[in-house]
Amino acid sequence: MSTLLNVKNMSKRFGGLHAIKDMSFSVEEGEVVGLIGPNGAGKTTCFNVVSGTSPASGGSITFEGENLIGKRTCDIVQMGLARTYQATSVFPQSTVLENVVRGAFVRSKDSFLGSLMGTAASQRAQAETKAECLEILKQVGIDHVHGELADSLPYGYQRRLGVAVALASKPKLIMMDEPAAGLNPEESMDMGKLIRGIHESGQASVLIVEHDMRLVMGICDRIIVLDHGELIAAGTPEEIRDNPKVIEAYLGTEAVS
Amino acid sequence: MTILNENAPDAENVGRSVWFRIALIAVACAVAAFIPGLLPNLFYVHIVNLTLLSGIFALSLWVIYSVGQLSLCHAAFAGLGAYISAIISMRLNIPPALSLVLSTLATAALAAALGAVILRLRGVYFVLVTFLFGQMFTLLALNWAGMTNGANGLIGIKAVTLFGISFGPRPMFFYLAFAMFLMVLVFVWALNRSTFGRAFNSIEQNINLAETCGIDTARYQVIAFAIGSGIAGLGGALMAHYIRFISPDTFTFHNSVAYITMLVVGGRSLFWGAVLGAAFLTPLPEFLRDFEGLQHIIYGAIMIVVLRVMPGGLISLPRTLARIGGAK
Ligand SMILES: Nc1ncnc2c1ncn2[C@@H]1O[C@H](COP(=O)(O)OP(=O)(O)OP(=O)(O)O)[C@@H](O)[C@H]1O
Ligand SMILES: [Mg+2]
Repeated sequence: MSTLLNVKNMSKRFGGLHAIKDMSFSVEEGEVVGLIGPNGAGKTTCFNVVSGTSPASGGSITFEGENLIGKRTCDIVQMGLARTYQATSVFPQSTVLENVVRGAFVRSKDSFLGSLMGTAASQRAQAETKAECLEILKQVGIDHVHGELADSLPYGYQRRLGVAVALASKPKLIMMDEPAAGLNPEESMDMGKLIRGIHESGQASVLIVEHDMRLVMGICDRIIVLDHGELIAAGTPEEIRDNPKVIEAYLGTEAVS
Repeated sequence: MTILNENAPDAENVGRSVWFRIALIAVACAVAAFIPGLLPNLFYVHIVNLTLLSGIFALSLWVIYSVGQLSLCHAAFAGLGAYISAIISMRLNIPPALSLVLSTLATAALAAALGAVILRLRGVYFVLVTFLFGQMFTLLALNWAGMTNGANGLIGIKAVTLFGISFGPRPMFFYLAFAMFLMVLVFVWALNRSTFGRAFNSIEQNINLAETCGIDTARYQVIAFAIGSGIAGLGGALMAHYIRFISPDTFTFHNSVAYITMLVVGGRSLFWGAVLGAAFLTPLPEFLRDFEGLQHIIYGAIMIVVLRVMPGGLISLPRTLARIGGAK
């Protein structure tokens, strides 16, 4: 088992606000790690910094030993670190299949000149990518609507499409920001199964932010807890469940007797 | 499985569609060959020529619009191409056919340099900066008199000559303008279907997601800006060698707005909209001349009506008609 993501003493300031303080954690190959914490704890900010959307104020971040600090998002994705967004994020005016094809953009064998001229090689490359993307849609369970505009999909399907787009880049690690937010209990269960499936098929490791505790406890090997930008606990789901500091963070001081 | 078969590379199908497109272009050329002869007088030929050039400007602006950016300095790049081509053909005695190519490349390079700096901005900020750049161009053309001859402009620009044929006379220039327009049209169409087109449209629809798809959004925006502005430079250079006179007034802020108007009235969603907008709006003022003082009012009224009835632009006419028909 080798370390994929290694974050050391990462910090992030927004003016006077210290959104992340000295955060250190790692994700190993083949793991599902949960990142939890109350609202405003800094979880999304953590994803933004790691994925290069927002520059770190300090610390070091490496992926498979390679430095990520100062790298742009598009380069980080090409290294094998993908992410999904907390709010649904799709290409609304494109078909479901086209959305996933765009997720595979950097892997496609299609060339600019080939596609400009419409050569047979380019058509073949596109057909190959499309076939792969249909497989991914099948995996997330929405291949039957592949021809519809992403905009017209029901909310639950849009969330799965977001995962499919991220999977299309064939990441080694996928960071999911609240994939089950706004889903009903049944859809949430399905999302849990999907994530387990991604992990069990050896497709990718997962770092997941989620408020649905049943889901998190059910699928994570390890959980880390963030509160006010500080890492307050780390351990197995059982350890986290009984950790007084975690209970305090979630329920306030008075709950701990 | 049917889906897969649909998208499978079918050599025969591919070949057939290529031949279909070539046939389409051949028909367009054959029709075009007779146009100058069919028009009642040279004035109409002139209008058609200007319309073709407008088509080039509108199409090239669409390329920039296809990454979701609205450039208010499109006329400045057209002017840049015009001045570069005019000056190098006059001073260095470079044949206009070659100076057209050189000025296109130079304009694209300058746009890439400017774009690399300003394309970090999006939305209204980008629009404002391009507006300022357009104004700077006009001031430069006015004040760098040693090079541009200031407000008096450059006169006596040579006509394009190819293989001993002069494309100076209006009917002859029509063939050149038509060939160039067709070339730009086919190029933009192909570009839109290429991997670049996919990247451009991803950026337009959702720039953050495009970046997390691994698309280098900064680079592709610069590419779109350089290609669009470069083609505008080509159109401007063609204009210079056609009218054979340019001044700072030839390409102003008002022209930039006119190109945007063509996009909006024609329909922004497809590049055909740009063609339609140019074809509709370029000749319109000429045919309103008879109304003397009312000309501009009627022009404005027509635009308002078009946008009121078809918010998607003229390109959405079939859909609008279908909707009206269905409602009855
Ligand atoms: N761009 C920004 N500028 C200023 N402050 C920000 C910015 N982004 C986040 N913050 C602040 O940083 C803190 C952490 O926010 P973040 O979105 O990371 O929380 P979160 O843990 O994802 O919360 P939630 O569970 O509600 O999604 C919050 O106080 C937030 O207001
Ligand atoms: Mg969040």
